Amino acid sequence: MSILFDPGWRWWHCLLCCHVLLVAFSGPALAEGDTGGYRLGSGYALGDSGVRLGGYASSKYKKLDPAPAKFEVSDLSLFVIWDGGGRWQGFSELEIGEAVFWEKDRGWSTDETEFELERTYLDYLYSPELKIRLGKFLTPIGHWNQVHADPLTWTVSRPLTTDAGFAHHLTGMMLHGEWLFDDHELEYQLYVDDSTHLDPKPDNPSPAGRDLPGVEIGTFEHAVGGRLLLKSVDSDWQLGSSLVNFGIEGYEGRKTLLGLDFLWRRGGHEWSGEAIYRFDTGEHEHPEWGVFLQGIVPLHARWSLVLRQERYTEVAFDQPIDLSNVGLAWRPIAPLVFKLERRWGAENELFAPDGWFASAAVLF
Amino acid sequence: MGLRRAMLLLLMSALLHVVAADAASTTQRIAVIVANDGSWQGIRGKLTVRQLARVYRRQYLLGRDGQRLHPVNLPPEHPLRIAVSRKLYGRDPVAMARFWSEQYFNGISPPHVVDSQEAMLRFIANTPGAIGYIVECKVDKRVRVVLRLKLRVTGSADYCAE
Repeated sequence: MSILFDPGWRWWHCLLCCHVLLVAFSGPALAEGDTGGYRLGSGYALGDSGVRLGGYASSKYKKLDPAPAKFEVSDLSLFVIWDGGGRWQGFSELEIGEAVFWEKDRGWSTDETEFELERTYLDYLYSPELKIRLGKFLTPIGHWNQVHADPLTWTVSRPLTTDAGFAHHLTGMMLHGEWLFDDHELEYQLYVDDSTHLDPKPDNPSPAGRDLPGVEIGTFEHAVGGRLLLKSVDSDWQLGSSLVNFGIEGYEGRKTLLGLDFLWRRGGHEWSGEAIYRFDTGEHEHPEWGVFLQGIVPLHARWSLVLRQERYTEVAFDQPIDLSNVGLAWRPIAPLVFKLERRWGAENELFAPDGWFASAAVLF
Repeated sequence: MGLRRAMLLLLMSALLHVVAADAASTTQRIAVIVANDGSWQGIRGKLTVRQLARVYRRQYLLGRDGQRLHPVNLPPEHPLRIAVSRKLYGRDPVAMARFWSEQYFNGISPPHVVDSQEAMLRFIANTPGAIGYIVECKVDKRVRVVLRLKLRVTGSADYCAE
């Protein structure tokens, strides 16, 4: 509870109060017959208020070498989506991470429970080509980070390329929109970030990252960047490029990250890949880079085979990390997925050790 | 000889399947409708199939003069919905589930769903900015047609009497 009285949280309180007031004074979004009620995977619409409640949950089993087996209710995310039918839209995601876990040597515990305000933002819709976003939102680098929720991904583990090289969230302002051509669409996102001042509870690097400062980034310090995404009208393929310049607290100089990504889907098949290249002018002169390629092959009765190969270089290591993943995913219905995965690699003991994963995840 | 007979049987079976599938579908005139009370302000540019697809994918949220657009669908299993989905997205409604899951994660809900063509008429007539579809023979004075589509619809039901 003490966190609620932390002065740093006042900013969030203001934003949330604005959000609640906008909801309270907004008129009915639709004249009649709104989808009041609940649908799995689409949330609960509160009558004609324009408010929808939902979220996702996932539980995971991990057996990573040499750690003991661990089962955890790893994510319980709650969405508040507000759409008043005008030019303003709002979105909030509160995440309860590691809510409960069981470990072979420790039994059941709630010691690692974390509350995170994952996202909170308001969008002003000026036109399809220009929307203005204010608040905390996901960093638009690559495809994975923007749809990272367990029910939407094919593997339990996350590629290092989408995880270690940049902060997952931004707090600031973003201009975004899309130009629509006959056969293609071009989306853009341009942003400025000041998480260090605006985000009262910045993300921390993982324990491994904390042991090697500068290797893994929790929060950007004054980031400026953008992303361009070219995609087909039917969303069968997309090609993205990202660029961001940022600082890290406690380090001189600034880093620049370039990213490329692609996605191709058809008939249950899916191929995707992302690559990043990060360089800086500070004390870490070595550039970092990572690349992965992932393939999804439909099998039978909504089962899919998942294959992924990745290479990632860290500033702190001479040898690159190589990772291979093979898994199965079963999606009996779209919002629900069960996964089983085996990961192994080379030079990966610290950041992504060999092991088995299993998970069940649902969008609700 | 046995092989030739088997090939012939396979070919005839495939042909029968095609004929049966064709017989089980009809060509329908679909009317894309908006309210007839003058509240519809239109979208920027001409309403084409491609623009309509963007309205239904919730890419076009605003119409001309900032009016909020409310696309409306029939239930996913309704033959008219399936035909319209194939025309707009090139795939069945169920195949769009993953797309809408990703949109939901980013705060965008799929179009509103009504149970029947009559419910569609009532909803469109009473909701400024709403846009939907019915068979052309169901159009009445409550709504105005802004686009006409000629689509193959599975089943032989009389959609005018629905």
